[in-house]
Amino acid sequence: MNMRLYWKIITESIGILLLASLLSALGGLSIQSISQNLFLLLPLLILMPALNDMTGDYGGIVVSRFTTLLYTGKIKEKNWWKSHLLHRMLGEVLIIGTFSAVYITVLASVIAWFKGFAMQWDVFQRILLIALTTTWLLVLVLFVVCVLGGFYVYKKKHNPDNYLIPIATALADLGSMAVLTVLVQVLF
Amino acid sequence: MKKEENRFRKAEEDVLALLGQHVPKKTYREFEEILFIEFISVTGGVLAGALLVQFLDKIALIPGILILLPGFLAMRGNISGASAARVSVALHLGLLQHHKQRAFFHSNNWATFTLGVLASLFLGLVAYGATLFFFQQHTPSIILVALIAGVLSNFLMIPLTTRVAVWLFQKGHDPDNIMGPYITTVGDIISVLSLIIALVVV
Repeated sequence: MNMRLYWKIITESIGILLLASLLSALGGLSIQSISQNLFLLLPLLILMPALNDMTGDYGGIVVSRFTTLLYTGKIKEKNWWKSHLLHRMLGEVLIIGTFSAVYITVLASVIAWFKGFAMQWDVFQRILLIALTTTWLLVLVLFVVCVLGGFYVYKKKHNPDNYLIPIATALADLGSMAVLTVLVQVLF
Repeated sequence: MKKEENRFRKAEEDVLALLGQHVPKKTYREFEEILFIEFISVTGGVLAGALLVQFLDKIALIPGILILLPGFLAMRGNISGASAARVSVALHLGLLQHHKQRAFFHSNNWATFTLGVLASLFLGLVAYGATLFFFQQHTPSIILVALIAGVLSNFLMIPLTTRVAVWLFQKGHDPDNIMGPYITTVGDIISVLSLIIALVVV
């Protein structure tokens, strides 16, 4: 075993890993506070890991595609909100997010129904609303954070990928669980 | 009809070129690829959720388990995802022809394992502290649950990640394009299973 490589991997990763774990645990803390509701609403509990994955994935997609556009000189900081390419990227991620949110809600509801949950149209609609709102809100927040943060990091002559991917993942974890908690409290 | 579409597309590209912007030609294909991969990835997430529900009676017994859950699920991507990326870079740089390939795999796998166990222990401590502070419940067993689940999931996940990355590369695929969704899908299921086994053991 190459001990130098072993320690290099550990020392370079441990800080950001523990920070990301801490932020995810904060997201966990918010859903723990509604655990009684969550244990009763089986479809929500079933779709929770998928919702968590989904928002994290979108953070990764937005950051990596934005960084590529930045490095290839296809977007500039001046009037970035007018960029056709950024509009297209946001549109694509929102459409994919919408399809995925509908898909996981239907799948989770079917599984919950098979497990004996008395699924009603009204409950399905509210769960779908939770999945869609969480997805849309998180995609928009991640998009703005990644673009503004990306320009800032790029101006400081660092690679935005190295900073923004862990930040986007942690923000997605924390944000999705926090939004889910608020919506469950409001809607149920 | 097809000709009309091509002409329209060409005109659109010309206008955008005039404005100094570039339209990638395979955007629709890219969209389809992301959508397909995302569907596979979220299906894994829903299956992991179904497993959680299957063992709800065990999960509900330990307060604070939901504090642990998002961090534990995200850890797979943060740790195994980074490991897969390192393996992929090494493979692209010709590692399989290199006489030090064994040393690289050992160092990478052991470092990934150490990181996984440390992060699991940290998550267990945070979950214990938060449960005690916010819900006034003393549940030290949650630290042990996190540790056992962390050891178990890493023990399964690390060899799977490395072997699949090498196998994909040998078959002529780029592991970069496939390992991300693979890790999220398989990782979610393995993580939840490990957590349930740890709950049963503790």
